[in-house]
Amino acid sequence: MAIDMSQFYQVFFEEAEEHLATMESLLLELDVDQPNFDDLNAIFRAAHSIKGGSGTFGFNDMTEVTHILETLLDRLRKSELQPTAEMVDAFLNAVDVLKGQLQAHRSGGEVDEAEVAEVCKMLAHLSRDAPPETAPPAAPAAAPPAPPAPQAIAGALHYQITLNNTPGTKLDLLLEDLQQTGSISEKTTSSEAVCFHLASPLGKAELLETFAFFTQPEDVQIHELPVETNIASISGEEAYGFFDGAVGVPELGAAESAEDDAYGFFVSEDQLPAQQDAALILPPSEPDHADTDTDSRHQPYGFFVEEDELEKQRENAQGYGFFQELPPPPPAGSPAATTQPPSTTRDKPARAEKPAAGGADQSSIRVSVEKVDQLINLVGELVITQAMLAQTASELDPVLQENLLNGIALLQRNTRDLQESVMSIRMMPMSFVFSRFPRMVRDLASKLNKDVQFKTVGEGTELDKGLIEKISDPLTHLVRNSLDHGIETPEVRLAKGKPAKGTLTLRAFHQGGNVVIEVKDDGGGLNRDKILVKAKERGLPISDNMPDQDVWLLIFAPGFSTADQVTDVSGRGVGMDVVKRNIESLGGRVEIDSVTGLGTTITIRLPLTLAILDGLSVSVGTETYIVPLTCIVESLQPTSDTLRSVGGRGRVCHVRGEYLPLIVLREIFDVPARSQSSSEGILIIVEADGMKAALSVDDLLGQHQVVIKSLESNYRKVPGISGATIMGDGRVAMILDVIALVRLGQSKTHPATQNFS
Amino acid sequence: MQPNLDNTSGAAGGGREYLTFTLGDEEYGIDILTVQEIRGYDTVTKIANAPEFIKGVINLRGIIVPIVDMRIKFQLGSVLYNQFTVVIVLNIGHRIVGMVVDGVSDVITLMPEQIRTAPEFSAALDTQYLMGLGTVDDRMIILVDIERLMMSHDMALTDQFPS
Repeated sequence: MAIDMSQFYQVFFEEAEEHLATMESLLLELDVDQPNFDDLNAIFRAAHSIKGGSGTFGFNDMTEVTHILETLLDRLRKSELQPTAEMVDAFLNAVDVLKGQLQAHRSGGEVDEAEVAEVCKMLAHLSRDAPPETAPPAAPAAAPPAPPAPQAIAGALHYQITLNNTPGTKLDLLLEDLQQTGSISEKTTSSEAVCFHLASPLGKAELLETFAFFTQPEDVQIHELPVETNIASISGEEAYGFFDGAVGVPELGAAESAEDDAYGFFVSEDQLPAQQDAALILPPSEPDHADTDTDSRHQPYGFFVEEDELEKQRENAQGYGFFQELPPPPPAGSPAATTQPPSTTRDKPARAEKPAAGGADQSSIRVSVEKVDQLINLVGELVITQAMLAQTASELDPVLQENLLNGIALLQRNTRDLQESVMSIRMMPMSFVFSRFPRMVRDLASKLNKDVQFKTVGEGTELDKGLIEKISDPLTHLVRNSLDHGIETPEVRLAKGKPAKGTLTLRAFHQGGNVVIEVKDDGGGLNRDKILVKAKERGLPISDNMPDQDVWLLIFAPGFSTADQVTDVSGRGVGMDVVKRNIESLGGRVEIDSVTGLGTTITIRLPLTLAILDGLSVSVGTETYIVPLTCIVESLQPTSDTLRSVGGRGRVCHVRGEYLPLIVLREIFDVPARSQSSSEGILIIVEADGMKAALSVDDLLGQHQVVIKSLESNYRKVPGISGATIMGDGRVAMILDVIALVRLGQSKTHPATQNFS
Repeated sequence: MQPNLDNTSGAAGGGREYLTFTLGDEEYGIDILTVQEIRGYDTVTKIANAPEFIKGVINLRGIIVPIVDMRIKFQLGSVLYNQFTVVIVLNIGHRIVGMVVDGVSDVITLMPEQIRTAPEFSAALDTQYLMGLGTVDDRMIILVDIERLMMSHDMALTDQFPS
C-alpha cells in the first residue's frame, strides 16, 4: 500500500531525538564495573526503536549504525561481554553520529561519512573482540545479520521446568523474574501445568528459591538437562533466530521488514510444532506433553497471553518493539495490515495490536508553543474580563441579584482553575536543562584532566518553558566556570587533603514563589584578595573591608576575570556579566556564596512564570500600583515616631527594632499628592535581594492575580517598574520592580554605594 | 513603504494616500499605511519620570500602548482634553504608539509631482523628519516621516536612547 511516509517524518525525528537523549543520559550513568541490566535494556530498546523507525522511513544510514550499535549492546545485555569505558565512549560517539545523521535528514545537512565509518568500525570491532560463545560474530552491517541466538547464554545451565498451574500462582511475575537472569523457551501452557525450557546461570538451589516466592515447592519440578540437549535445542532455535535477526535489516523496505517482524513475533508460535518434533531429541518426559498435542487449538491463545507479558522484557519479541516505536498513525495502517502472516490463528493480530493500544496510557500530544501561548493569552484576557465583571457585580444588590452573583463567583473560581491548568501546560521539569550537563561535564572534565562527579538534584522541579529555554545558557556558563576555575586538578585536591574526585552539584527546588537553582562545587572557592586586587586594577569602586557578599558580586562586573591564563573553556572575563544580565532580564537574581578552599555555590532565583503574578494593589496619589505579593513581608500603619530622618536627607522607618530605608513612592514616581503626611499612609515592608525597605503608600486596595504585560514591547524600560497590567476596570496599572526600588532606597540612604543605575 | 500597494491605493497610479491632521494652524500628513486606527482620548495611566509629552499608557484591547501628545511636544495648539480630543494609533516597526493631535482632517492622495522637498526652515519639526511639502489646491501639507520621528531620540519612546 502506498502511504506517504513523509508526513510522519517529523514524528520520527522528534522521537528519535528523545531516544538519543535517553541513550546518552543512560550511558553516562552506566557504571562500567557493575552494569545495571535495566539500564542496558533501556539503552538497547532506545537503539532498537531508532533502528525500527529509521528502517520504516528509509533512513538506511541510521539503520546501519543503530544495527551495529544494537549488536554490541545486545551482547552486553546478555552478559556475553563486560562493558568497558572504551565501549561507553564508542556508544557516545555513535549517539553523536546518529544525531548528526538525524539532523542531516531533517534539514538536509552533510554527514561526515568518515566519522560514521570510524564509529561503525569501532563498534563492530568491540562487539567482535571477545570470543563468541555459541553465537556467530556480528556480521557487517551490509550483510543480513545473524545476531546471537537469544537462548544462548554464556555458561548457562539448562533446565526443563514443569509447574503445576495451581490457582493463585503469580505465573507472569515469576516468568518475568526468571527473565531477569535467564531466557525462557519452548514454553507450553495447559490448564494444569506450564512447561518451559530455561537457560539460566543460576544453580538449581537458587532457582528453587526464586520459585518459592511465587509458588509452592511441591508444584515445581526442575530437571537439569544434559549438555547435548542444550546444543540440540540451540541449533533448533537458530533457524528461527534468523527471523529475529532479520528485523529491520537495512535493505528491507518498510513493509517487508514489518512482515518479517511479524514472523519474529510469531517465532514462538512456530516453535510449538518444532518442539513437538524436537520431542524426539528432548529426553525429558513431560507429563503435559500429551496435553500439548490435544490442546493445541487453545495453546496459541494461552501462549500469547503469557508471551505478551514476557515480551516487555524480551529482545526477541522484536515485533512487539516494532509496534511500539512507530508513530501512532501507522500501526493502524501499514504494519497491522502486513502483520497477517500466512498461517496464524485469528487471535493474533488482535493480540499484536493490544500492546500498541496499551502504550497510549501515558500518551501525549505534541502541540506547537505558539498554540499554547495563544491559549495563555486568551485565558489572560478572560481573567481580565472576569475581573471586570466581578467589579461591576460588586455594586449590585446582593439580595436581589443573588443568582447573578453566585454565577460570577463560580466564574471566578473556574477562571482561576482554567488559568492554572493552562499555565501548567507551559511548565516543564528542570531535567530538560539538566540533562544536557552530564555529557558536557564529562567531556570538559576529561579535557581539563579533572576528575569530577556530577550530581543533579530536583530534576522534577517545574519551571515555565520560556524560562527553561532562557536559563540553559547562563547555567551552562556557570557549570563551565565551576569546572574550569572552581574544581582543582586531582593532584592539587589531594595536596589539599580533599578527595581527588571533585563534586559538582546542580540542584533545583521551589522556595516561596521562586524556583531556586544552585550550582555548587567543592573546589577552591573564590579568592577574595585576588578579586580585590583585580577590581582595583580595573578601577572598580571598592574598599578593603567590603563584606564578602559584595566582593563576590564583583566577578559579575563586565570584563572581570581572575583567571591567570585564558583557556578555550573560560577565563576571558566575558560571561559572568552576561549571565547576570540574562538572569535579571528573566526577573531572577544571582547570589554567590563561597568559602576559600571549600567551594562555591552560585544560587539563581527565578520567578515561577513570567506571565502571571500575585500582587497587592495599592493607591499612591491618583495612581494605582501593584506590589508583587512575594516580596511583601508585612504592612503597617506608621505612628509619628516610626519615621526618623538620617543626616537630614534620607529617612528611615523604625519597625520592630530594625531601621529600614523609607521609600516614598509618591516622591519617586512624582505622583500628585492626595494625603498630606506620609504618616497618614500605610507602610509596606518589602524584602528583595536580601534587603528590606519600607514603601510608603496611601492605601491598600486589594489582592489580585494579574497578567503581566510588557511595557517594553511598545515603550521602554522604566526604572522602578517591572511591567504593567490591566485592572478590572480596564485601566492600566504599573507593577513595581521591588528589587530596583529597594536598591534605590539604599542608594538614597547610603549615597556612597551607587549601585542603582 | 509598500510599493505594490501604491497602484491600488493611488487614484491615478503613482500617488500615495496620506492621513492629514492639524496641530495648531499647521496641517500635517502621514502615510496612511502607518495608521492602525483613530480613537478618542481616554484616561491614561501615568508613567513615572517620563517626559511631559508622554501622557502615559492605555489599554488598547489588552495591549499596553504609550500615548504621546504632539501638541505638547511641538508646543502647538491648545492642550485640552475633552470628548473631541483625538488619538491616532500608529503601527510602526512592530510597535504601537498613540499620538494626540488637534484634529484629524481627511485622507488625500498626493501624486509625486505634488510633493516638493522641504526647504531648510525653522519649524517645530526638524527637517530630517520631513518627507516633503504637499500641495492640494492652496493648502500646504507637511508630510512627516512618522516612523523615523517616533523611533527617534527626541521622542524617548525606545530603549536605545533613554532620556
